[in-house]
Amino acid sequence: MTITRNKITALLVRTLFLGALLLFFFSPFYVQFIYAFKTRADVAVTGLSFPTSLTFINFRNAFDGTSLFPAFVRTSIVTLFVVFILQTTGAMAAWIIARNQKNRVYNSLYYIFLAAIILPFQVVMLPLYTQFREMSMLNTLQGLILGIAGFQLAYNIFLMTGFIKTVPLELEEASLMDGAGQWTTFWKIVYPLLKPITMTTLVLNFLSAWNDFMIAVVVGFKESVRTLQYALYMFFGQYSTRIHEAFAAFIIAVLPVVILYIVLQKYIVDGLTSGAVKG
Amino acid sequence: MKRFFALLMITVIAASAVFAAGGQDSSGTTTISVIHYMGELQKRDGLKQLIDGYKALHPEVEFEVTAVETSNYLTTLKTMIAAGDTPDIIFGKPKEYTDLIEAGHMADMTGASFVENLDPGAVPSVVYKGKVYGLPVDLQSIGIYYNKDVFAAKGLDIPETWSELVALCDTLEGEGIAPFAHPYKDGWTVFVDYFADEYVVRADYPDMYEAIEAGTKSFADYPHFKDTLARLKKRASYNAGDDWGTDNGTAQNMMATGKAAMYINGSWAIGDFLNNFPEASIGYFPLPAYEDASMNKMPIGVDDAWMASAASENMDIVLDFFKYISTPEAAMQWMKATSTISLSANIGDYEYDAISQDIVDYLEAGDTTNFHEPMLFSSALEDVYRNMIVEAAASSKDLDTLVAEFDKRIDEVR
Amino acid sequence: MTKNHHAKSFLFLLPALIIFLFVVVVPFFRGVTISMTSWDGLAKNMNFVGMENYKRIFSTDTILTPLKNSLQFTAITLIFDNILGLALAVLLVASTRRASFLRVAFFMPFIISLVVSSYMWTYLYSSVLYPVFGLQNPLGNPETSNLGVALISVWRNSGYCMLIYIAGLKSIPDSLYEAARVEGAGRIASFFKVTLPLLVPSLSINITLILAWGLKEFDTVMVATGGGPGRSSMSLAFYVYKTTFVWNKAGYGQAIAVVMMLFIVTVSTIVARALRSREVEL
Repeated sequence: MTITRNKITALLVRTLFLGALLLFFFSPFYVQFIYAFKTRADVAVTGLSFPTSLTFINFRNAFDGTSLFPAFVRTSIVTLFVVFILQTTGAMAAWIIARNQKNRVYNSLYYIFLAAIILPFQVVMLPLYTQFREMSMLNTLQGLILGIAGFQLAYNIFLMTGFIKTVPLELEEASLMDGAGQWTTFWKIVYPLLKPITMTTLVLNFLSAWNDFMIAVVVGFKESVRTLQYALYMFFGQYSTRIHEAFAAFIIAVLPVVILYIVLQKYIVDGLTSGAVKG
Repeated sequence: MKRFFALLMITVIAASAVFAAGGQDSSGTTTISVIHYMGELQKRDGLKQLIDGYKALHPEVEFEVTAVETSNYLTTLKTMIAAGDTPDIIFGKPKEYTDLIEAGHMADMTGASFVENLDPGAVPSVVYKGKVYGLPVDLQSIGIYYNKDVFAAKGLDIPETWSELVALCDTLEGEGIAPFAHPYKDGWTVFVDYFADEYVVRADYPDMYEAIEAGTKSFADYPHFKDTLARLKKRASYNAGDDWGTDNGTAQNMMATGKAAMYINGSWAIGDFLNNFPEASIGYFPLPAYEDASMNKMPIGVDDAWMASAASENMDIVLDFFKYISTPEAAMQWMKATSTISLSANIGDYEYDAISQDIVDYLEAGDTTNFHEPMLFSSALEDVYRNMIVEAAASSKDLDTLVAEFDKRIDEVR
Repeated sequence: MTKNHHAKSFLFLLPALIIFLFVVVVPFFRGVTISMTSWDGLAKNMNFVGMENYKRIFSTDTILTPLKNSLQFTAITLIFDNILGLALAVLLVASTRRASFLRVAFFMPFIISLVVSSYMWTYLYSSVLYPVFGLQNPLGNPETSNLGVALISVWRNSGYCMLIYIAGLKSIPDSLYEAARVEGAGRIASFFKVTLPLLVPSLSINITLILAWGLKEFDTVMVATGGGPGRSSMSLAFYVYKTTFVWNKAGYGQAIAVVMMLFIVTVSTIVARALRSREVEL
């Protein structure tokens, strides 16, 4: 008797707890959903209740005549380049460091990268801005790309080095002895083996570029160059009464990331946990 | 792999073309960039009308307008300036940006043609160290909007002294009506509340800001500052429910529909009430900060004003545009669109709406005090100052501690 | 290893190194130089003032408010992210479809940007909290604004902690639970005797990361409150930003940034060391 009662209370507690957590975690999304898919008139009458019909007018208004769509396009370009740079140069650098850690130079470089992970952006914020201004790179997409990629490099190298060390040397050595150059060896033999970690870094890099706000605030604030997060920030400031459009815009802004996550989640979870636990 | 990279390279090159193409201007047109923080829809419409009117006369000129939220305006403007990317036309009152003027970023427009179109009384407000740095467009006052019906129903008169105002608030509370609709969520509305009071007393301490900026005095040296803060906190203590979660629109609604009796804001909001609550019966009176009724005057100064960047390459077009704005026709158009009181001369007869008429009555009676006459804080100190005020309104710390804390912050940034 | 091989190896490293030098290293050293001037960020010239800025930081107490805010913020996120993360991990560790779906769902806050999550929460705080729960907007009250901001971060990072804990949970061999059961330990006892000790590595990771993220927090503060009311929710990072770009004190701001960096590095190192020695014990 007691056993069943304990089981039932346990189940009850679990469900209640889970329910409370779901409420906490999803109420913001729910509110956003309601406001994005209902018209202002509708909300005035029905408040926060679930919509009976979905309207897309807020989505249209959010992009019509505002600078959000160009910002969306620009962010896509920036993200593409940032991910490309990090996935290639980061992996290449990590391989060299991982394979040459006995060498004092490479080992010190590793520790410098490691230290850079903790570095707060604030300490390079102003000098970077000044430097970009002097080189006319301020408010350019190139500047944004370099800024975001440069700041993510250390973390990429850290994650990848850890993983590469678990890849056996034999295959590379065999390839090199067969006469293949380092370039071919790396890209044909080693890189495919890094898939678990490169998938993780792909997602992390995508996120860092897509969600970037801080770097944009400092080096990419002009309207014609703004990326998505900064554009959203200004949009909400300019049109703080247009909540419906703002929330619709947020949903669009979040969609690519969500899709990417759902498609690649297996890699993220595996990568995050294996690479992280090792580190 | 190689094919993948080849594909990527092509994308890179294609995208680079996008970068390069991004900067081209269509030949023949000049683009004038404008930055402002006008939040009211009617003002943005008014600006659009001015721009359209000007473009009709000068089709080769294009305008690129950036609207920024009031609280972010200074940061955004400064970053743009420091990047060498200053917009041609900058919304703002010269007296509030003296540090930018000193650094040479603002255009000296002394002797420009628009000056002769202005009401001579308005010109000193845009003059700094003897030079003209701005075009003042209309008049500003900050005071208390009130619901005439509520006042009439409860048999209340417009308070003429501070204690009368407090008594009024207590009466209203007793009757179950929120004395004030405080839109404190928006932040800037808090220091507007403060200024409604401080503007009335400012003329009696004309060198306060200058002295504090120079470091010869501190806030602690001015006991009236503590008193002004105390009055702010008193007004803030009449909480209508969740003041810090109430935004401007909601507060206006509360007052216009009678849920609250009063609402403190500047004359720029008159248009909001006329457009959104045309049936409501609303009036306006200056905040009675003093106990002596004769000392409580209507504070006036410059509201919308335009400055120009010293680095602008299109100065001639900018000045021409300013001249256009200051002409009686454009000024009239602006007044009608925004429900403000123009500072252009030669407007001629104009029928003001009921709320503006309350202000004009004080103007015509000469019962005013100009809050833009004294020297004000530079923009950096102003930012610290305004944030301090917001904190003071919400904080439960005692005033002496707060004032001492504020002086420290000013010291740090001076 | 031939010299050619060495050269080629270095070339492999070069692109990353160049970008890193350009974006991180050179600005860092330049920043240190700037921190010893009285530059205002606008003027053409910088005046060298030596350690003046640093002396000022330590002789006035205006840095205490942002410091306190950052510490409070970090402490709250550390504690609650781990509690919630662990709770979620325990509840959702199963391999069922439902658990898998829920894991994805609870991780969602982590992948959306800080800008969007901050705006969602500021709206919730101001327009939903009062009508539905009768609670006032925490962001408007200087005493609770920092807590309000911290809550947004708790909401956001718990999913991440959950994932780390799930990985940790999955790596605990069943044999240990068997052994515990044989010794007569119930569900709760085995949780404390077997699970928790073996989750310490996961805890270490979570603590290290969240500590660093918390002390560096910028986006949420800027978007949700702008540091306000007043300075009640101003974090160290936002304080640096304001000092440098708004209050015309670039040199001083840079010095604060350097101090902030040293502070974070020191705290992170101490905590990392403490955690590692703990791990060795177990």
